Amino acid sequence: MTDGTPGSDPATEAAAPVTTDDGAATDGGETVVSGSSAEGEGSTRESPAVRRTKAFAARVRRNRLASGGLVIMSAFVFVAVFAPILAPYDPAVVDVPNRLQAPSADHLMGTDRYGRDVFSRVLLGARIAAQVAVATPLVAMSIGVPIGLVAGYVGGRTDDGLMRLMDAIFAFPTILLGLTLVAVFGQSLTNIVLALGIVFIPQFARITRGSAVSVAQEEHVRAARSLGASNARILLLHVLPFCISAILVQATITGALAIILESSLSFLGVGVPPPQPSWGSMLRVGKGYINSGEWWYSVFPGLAIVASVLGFNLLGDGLRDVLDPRSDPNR
Amino acid sequence: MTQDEQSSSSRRRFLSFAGSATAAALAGCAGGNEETPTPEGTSTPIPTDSPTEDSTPSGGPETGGTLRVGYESELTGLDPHQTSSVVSWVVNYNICETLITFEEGAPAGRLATDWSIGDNGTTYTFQLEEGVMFHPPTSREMTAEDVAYSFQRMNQEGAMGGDLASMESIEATGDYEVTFTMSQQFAPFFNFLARVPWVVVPEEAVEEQGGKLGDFQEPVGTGPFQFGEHELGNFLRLDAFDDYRIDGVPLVDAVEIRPIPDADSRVAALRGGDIDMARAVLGKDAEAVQNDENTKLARQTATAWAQLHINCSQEPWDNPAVRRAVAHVIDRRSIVDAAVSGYGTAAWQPYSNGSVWNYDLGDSRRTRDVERAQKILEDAGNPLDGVTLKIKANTRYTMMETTANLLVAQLAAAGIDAEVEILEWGTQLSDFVNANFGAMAFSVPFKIDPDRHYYGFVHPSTSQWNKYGEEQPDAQKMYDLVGEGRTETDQDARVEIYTEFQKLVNKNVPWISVARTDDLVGLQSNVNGNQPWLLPYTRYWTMWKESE
Amino acid sequence: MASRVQEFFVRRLLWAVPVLVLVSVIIFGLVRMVPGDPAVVMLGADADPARLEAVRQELGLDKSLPVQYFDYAASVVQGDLGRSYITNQQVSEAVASRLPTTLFVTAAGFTVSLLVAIPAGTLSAVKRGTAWDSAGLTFGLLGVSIPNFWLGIVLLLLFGVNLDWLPVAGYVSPLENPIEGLRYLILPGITLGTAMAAIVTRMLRSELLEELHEEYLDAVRMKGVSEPRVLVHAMKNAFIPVVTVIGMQFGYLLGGSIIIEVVFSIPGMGRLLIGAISSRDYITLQGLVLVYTTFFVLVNLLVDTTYFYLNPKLRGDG
Repeated sequence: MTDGTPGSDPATEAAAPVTTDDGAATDGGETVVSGSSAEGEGSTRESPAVRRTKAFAARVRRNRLASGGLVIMSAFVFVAVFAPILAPYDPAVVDVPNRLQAPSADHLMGTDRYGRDVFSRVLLGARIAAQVAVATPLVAMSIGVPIGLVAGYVGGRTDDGLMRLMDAIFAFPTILLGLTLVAVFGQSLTNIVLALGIVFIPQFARITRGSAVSVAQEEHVRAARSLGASNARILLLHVLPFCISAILVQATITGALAIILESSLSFLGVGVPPPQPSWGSMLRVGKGYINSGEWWYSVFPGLAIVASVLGFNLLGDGLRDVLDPRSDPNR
Repeated sequence: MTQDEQSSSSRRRFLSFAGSATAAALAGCAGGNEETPTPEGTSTPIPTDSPTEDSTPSGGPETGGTLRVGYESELTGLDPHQTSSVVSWVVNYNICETLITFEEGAPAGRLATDWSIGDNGTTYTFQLEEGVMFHPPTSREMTAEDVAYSFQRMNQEGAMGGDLASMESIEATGDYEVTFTMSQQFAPFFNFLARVPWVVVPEEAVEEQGGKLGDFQEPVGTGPFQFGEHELGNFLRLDAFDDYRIDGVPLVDAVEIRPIPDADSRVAALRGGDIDMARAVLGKDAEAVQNDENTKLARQTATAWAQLHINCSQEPWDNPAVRRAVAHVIDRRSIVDAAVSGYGTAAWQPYSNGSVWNYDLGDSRRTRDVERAQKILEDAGNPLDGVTLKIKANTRYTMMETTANLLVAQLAAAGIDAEVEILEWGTQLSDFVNANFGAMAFSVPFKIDPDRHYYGFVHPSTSQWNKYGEEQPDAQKMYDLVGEGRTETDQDARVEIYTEFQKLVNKNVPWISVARTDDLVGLQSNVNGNQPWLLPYTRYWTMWKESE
Repeated sequence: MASRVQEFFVRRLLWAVPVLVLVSVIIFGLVRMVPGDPAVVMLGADADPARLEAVRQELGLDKSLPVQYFDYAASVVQGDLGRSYITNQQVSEAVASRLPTTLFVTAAGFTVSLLVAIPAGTLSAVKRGTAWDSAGLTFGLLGVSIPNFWLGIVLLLLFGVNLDWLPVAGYVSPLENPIEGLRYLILPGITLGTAMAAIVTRMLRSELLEELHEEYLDAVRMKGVSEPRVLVHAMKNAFIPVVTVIGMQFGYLLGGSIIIEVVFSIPGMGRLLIGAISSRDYITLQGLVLVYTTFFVLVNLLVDTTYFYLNPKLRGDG
């Protein structure tokens, strides 16, 4: 579980207040900008943004890490969507006489304390994890990106104020903030996604701000401004596209962290409320059966978490690879 | 005098009063040891087949050493007159003393040596033991004034609520004699005297620590252990009191209490040798403790009563047919197996066979019979069509969580839509208090007096936790019965009253009893002298450690 | 130069203050948002209304929110974090008694992670492309994909077989008993430190790779300086940005210590926090969150200042 961008580019003084900033986006954004200005200069009618995106997608496919990550994630999404069909047993059906059975041909991952099939519950758990992993970055993005755009573009006092607010949120250790927010909001899947989304707003804000600051100085942006284009238009058409790739990377990272954070909260008992089969709450119960030998209860849900998070991290690494091969730690 | 001899002599003296029907009735001494014995409030002796201790190793008890005990929750507040947590009660039971206690099911004196009840059950006079010393720094003899002070303190501004509502006055009518005057008969009063918080403390010690209810965090009392050191959140140490009124006890030099809220860690600490005694061992861990050659298991049956608590004023639970139907769907055996690995028994009432308060329901018990449940609903016009029953529970207590989860599954299998609503324990308690629920899985510790179980649930003069309103079947009759049970002083008559009441409970289902669960304690193999009993207080003064 | 560093520190400190104020407002607001009347929580629902009102006044709940906040802020600055309704204890006392434990747990995680990451990252960079490197990279990836509480459970499973090796629960203060204390910190340290170790390994590897291929180092090599010395030099430079990451990770360690304390039953601030949440002890919760956050902000401040000090470019020297 990390608080910032895992092993990414070194923090630079350039874009943001030198604190716990990750400069990933800044460099990433700059690279893409410089890379494409050579490509896009006056060649086709496609807007630079679209061309960039296409080239980007191609590079992603070629990169082993990213494609590996995509494979895992596709499997993850597939399981999440089709879980009820894939599950051999109805995960809610109890069978007390058959409780706490070891893994067997009948029950691939054994049964839990009520006799429910663990494998089926793990599959269903993917649904919760998937929802969390997708919705959390969306929430964080939808608030963080506009904040970053405005802050970076407008600058001055607005920038200061907004970034202070971001710093205030960022000042909380992640799980602590998550815990407190859930304690306040109450436990439900929606509230958890909301709480986690809030936790990750600052990262998106910073990344976007970094790009926005540098783009705001660009020639064509100033030109557009002087021609009287509305700020909103500028932000959307000129500034935002430059941030997209960095935002994407951050989104995968956030997705991974969200899964870990949600399962941590559920493990502590303040996450997704039972009887929903969150992997974290399964582990919470499973931990109690270590001493009596029912190891499957605490191993399999954990493996599921590792697998899905790994998928996101692989994808994130691969994307970063594609964006900025120079400073990628895996080269 | 050893403790055994003490209690025999007080018992003898007590029996000399047995001629007074009132005394006998109140003590609930019915004698007789039934076939399926379990120690119950006021009647049967502790049976030998409830596995308590191995035979004492030859060589007898040793003295010395520190008994390290792992507790299941943090100690929140040690003022004996204000705290409401079981773990604090256990501590206070060893530091301070009550007027009476129970020995093998019958009342015996603790600070009191004798008592008499007069004026038709409205005055209680207690003779107190002489030469009882308070712990340092108070270090003086306890007198009747202290008893009067203590009761007045604990009940200031009515803090004790219904329990002492009928206490008109308490007076020291002699140096070693104290008299309670009640405004009306209150049968449970006598039994309540065996419980914390009704303990005796010295005024000057209380004043020194602030004086207000809640300030007395380093309690001073007359008990076998005195307050030693409390490092908040870490440990609490009680030291043996040298001037304790009974010679030869306590056997250990000190008791060190460590809160280890996580059940698994507590068991791990026991098995790893970090603690000598682990409270609240869960059913799933019992086998591990038993099989481990370094540890052993002590078991006390029927220490808690698990039930489905129902709010009879909320739809659709206000419909008796619904309640009766659910009572026929619930599979108690299944729940006991899953929740406590069998360390409990399916139950239709809080008291077990062998207790005077147990009424044998026989075939009239509402047992699992899904067809009958469905028929009841049909006959009532299918009130649950399109309705989803909501059952509240929490994850902190396995019994409650399992009851809710399994019941929902059992209802689903019977064609009734239901779902569990898991709350935080604090929230659930809040909902319980505010009647913000339809049904919730609940569990209460054993109560010495049936009034404690039933009155508050049903009677409109109280919070009426079940909200069993007048419009409910036999409501008035049930109010009358619990009211009578409270004032009736004849034991046999009381038993009949509560038997009547149980019949009506079975018929109208204001709540659904699920199981009686056991209290499991883990001990190091070399720890002896543990005497589990039905009250939740561990008596540390009889325990000792065999040296390796 | 020293004055520049001082200047930086002071500037950042001044910046940190409004952040902390904001943080305290957020915490205060959040806690107030929780449903439930504290007086009712304290006395019970069927308490006498007059008593409820009296308690509310005593707690200052009848005053307006901003006033309540200022009262609170004023007392916090003086070190009074309030008194819990539930435990009847001064929050500052509760925190003070548990702070050393949490700090030791955090330190254990920190130590383990550096003990692993520095050799792993260096080895990975130096032996780039070999099996060592693959191992390092795999560790880097897996380490951040494993939830720390699950790692703890797995370790418990493994060591639970033989309980005598290492204790699986509880805590002994290293101040009282260094050897025992360390034994109790090994498993928690490993569990807490793994993710951070993975991150720092990746970071160090990446930075070191860059440094090792810098041109000026080639020049140095040609002068005949031995490779180990070159390595040391490169490491010094590589470490500078890594320092920032380490500081960032402190936040993770602090937060992670909460879960670790629960998994291993260590009586630190984290367990108190979880307990406060389940018993709805909002005063304690408020105080704890404030303490955690303040620590985090201050540590970051120190880390940033150190980074500023170490980085010649930023200092404006080199």
